[in-house]
Amino acid sequence: MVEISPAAAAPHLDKQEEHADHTVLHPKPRLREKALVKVAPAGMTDDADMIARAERAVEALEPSFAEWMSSAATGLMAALVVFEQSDMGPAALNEMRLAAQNVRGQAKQFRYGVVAQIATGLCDHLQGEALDVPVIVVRRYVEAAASVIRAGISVQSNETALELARQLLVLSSECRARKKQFDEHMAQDDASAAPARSLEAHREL
Amino acid sequence: MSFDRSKPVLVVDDTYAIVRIVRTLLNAQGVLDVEGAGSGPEAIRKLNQKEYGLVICDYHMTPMSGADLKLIMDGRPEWAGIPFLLMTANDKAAAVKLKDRPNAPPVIAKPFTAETLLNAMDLAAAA
Repeated sequence: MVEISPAAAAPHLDKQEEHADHTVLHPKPRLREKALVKVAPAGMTDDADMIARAERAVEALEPSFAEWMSSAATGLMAALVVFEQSDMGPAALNEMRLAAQNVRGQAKQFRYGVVAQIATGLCDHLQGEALDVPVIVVRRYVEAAASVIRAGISVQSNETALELARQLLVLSSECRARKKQFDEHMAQDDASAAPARSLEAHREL
Repeated sequence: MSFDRSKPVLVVDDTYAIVRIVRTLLNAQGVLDVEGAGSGPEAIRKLNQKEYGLVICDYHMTPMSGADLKLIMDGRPEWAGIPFLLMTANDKAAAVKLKDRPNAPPVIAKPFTAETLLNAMDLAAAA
């Protein structure tokens, strides 16, 4: 007969005390082992699981994206009305810029690609110290973003929405080109008027 | 160094939807204590009341930008060591503005995935 050692027979036991009428079993202390497993740094698989779980949790929120984008569009329209009635100075411009940046941020995060594109174009006009296009252009951008959001267009492949975004870019570049031309013209006028002004000043002396 | 998930996280963004998304991502990654603040001043009030293990903050906010909040936190010894992460939809502009700032925090660009956020949190904790 093969003899089995107590340790091999009961590997989970630390020791075993035999008494006349009973036996005391001492299990191996496993608590520390368990605790160590819990606090061990997450490995690659744990991270991948967690990431997948997080992505699923965000997917579950997707039905709310349209509602959140819609309220962002309402906020942008309200900011535009306030901006149009203001002096369009630095403070007003800053408020308008923040509203546009909010829409851009949400659109990017919620994958409203065309809205993000339109909002980026709008933000570009609001970046400087002063508005670089007539305010009607800003209104065109805001209305376009709101229309795309209200139509629930979140895919980048919607041709109508893409065409709208393209037209806005054309409008922006035309306005910028006209402004540049105007600025150059004014600079030339100033340069040609400068000698005359200097002559007048000399005569006054 | 990886981020300690047992510590509370403060998410600062003037857009509720973004706070909600970040909270959902963090909860699913085992960070259960996540609080939101809608502005820099509200974040400061919350920082005064509780010890946070990480602050995730939007860059473009009023009246105080995310970068300004970081500057204020750097000025307070009890907050200076809290890992800080900036979120922005325009990471290039943020990078230009933060270029010369000492202790400039890591910046995460929107849109971000759970994986990007997790990596950025670890980066912020190690900074």
